[in-house]
Amino acid sequence: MPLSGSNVQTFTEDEQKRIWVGTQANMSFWNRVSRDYDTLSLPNPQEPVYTRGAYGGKANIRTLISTGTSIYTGTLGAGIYQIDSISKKAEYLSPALRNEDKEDKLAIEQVLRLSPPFIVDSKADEDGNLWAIDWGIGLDLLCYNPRTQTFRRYPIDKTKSCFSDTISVGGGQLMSLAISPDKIYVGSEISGLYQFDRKKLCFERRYGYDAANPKSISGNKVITVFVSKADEVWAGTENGLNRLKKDGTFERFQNFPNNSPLKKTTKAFFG
Amino acid sequence: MCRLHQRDGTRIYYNQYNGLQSGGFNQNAIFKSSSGEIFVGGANGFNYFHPDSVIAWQKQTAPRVVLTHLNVMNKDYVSQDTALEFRKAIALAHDENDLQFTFAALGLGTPDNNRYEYGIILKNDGWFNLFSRPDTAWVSMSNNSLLNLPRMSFGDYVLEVRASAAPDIWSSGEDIARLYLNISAP
Repeated sequence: MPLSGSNVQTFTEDEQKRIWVGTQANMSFWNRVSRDYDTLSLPNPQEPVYTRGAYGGKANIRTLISTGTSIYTGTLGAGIYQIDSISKKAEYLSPALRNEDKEDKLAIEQVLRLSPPFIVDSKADEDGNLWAIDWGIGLDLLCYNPRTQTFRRYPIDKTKSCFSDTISVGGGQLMSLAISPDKIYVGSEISGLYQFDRKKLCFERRYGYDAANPKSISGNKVITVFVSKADEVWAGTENGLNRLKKDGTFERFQNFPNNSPLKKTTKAFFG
Repeated sequence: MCRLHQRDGTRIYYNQYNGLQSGGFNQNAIFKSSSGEIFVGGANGFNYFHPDSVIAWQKQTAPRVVLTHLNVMNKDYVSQDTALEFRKAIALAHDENDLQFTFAALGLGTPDNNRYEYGIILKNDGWFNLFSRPDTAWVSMSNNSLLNLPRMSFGDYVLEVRASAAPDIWSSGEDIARLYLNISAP
């Protein structure tokens, strides 16, 4: 069977060492021995009003995360699915129906009537919790706890955050996500890099570009963010690469000289 | 795709002519498996490789450039005594000054990856200075192996053409195509 689509967006590997490939059309997993693919169809979401048919029936997979026997699939327009990598059974995880906060459950349902969840990035922490950011529900962080099978939402909101400086909250969509042992870093489209405290469970800081400060992050569009094994935070913007130092300032790295075909925009990390 | 050697900063570039699915990749569509294979995805599928298996590609060298064809005043130039590729010098009359050269870069890579540059060195005080001129003296021919030199003035020149199959790695020394041209005065 061919690959489910040509436009490949993301990969992951399950415990059986199979490579899962997310495409714009659907999801495939690859058998290394037979060098063949199997395609997995995802069920329709169960949001109150939303149906995937409105978006052409394409899964539009953006993120794949493997943790234990579960594969989490973040889609652009159809939220998050959990797939059992052994049985291949896929289940839709509704951030509204599974919300552990009753008040927030109602709030999310209101939002989802207007826009479906667009998952743009997701990561799993060391406890197997899934953290995700999306373009539909709001400027916030979603966390799915597989033990309680519930979601919780952590907004970047002046009233619900632990920012010491409440005017630090900016606007725009979220783009990227990385997890360190103590913090979660979220890159935004227009307002720099946000820092979430995993103990306090709230956003506590924003790192924004400051033209007058060469030690600030090099741009407010944080396309990708990465935490290395040495717990160093790296952020990629349209103006190059940035390393967050312990004192809260950034070391900037610019592009190669003009004769290089490499651009200064940093789009992805892995390690 | 670029492979960067952290120790010395050297870079090796790969593109669709080296077998990559296309010239671009999707954001975040890069993954390292538990066995060390690297997967990269784009609009036309994905590629995977193990970094250890591409060692052979590390020694990217610049191709040798040879002259394969010369057209003088819209007529083929026939090299009588030796193959054109091995000619070191060509003498032409003053009215044989519309020249079109065709070069070839001899390498194992895909021709689409080749880039050409030419330089013309004039005789200065009776000498050609071939060795101490700035890099900016090279003129880009892009991927075109044809070089037109119309209405050349009479005089003595050295024409040099170099090629590259990867950025920053250009033919040098004997791998540069070098031809002494004499166009006689009227």
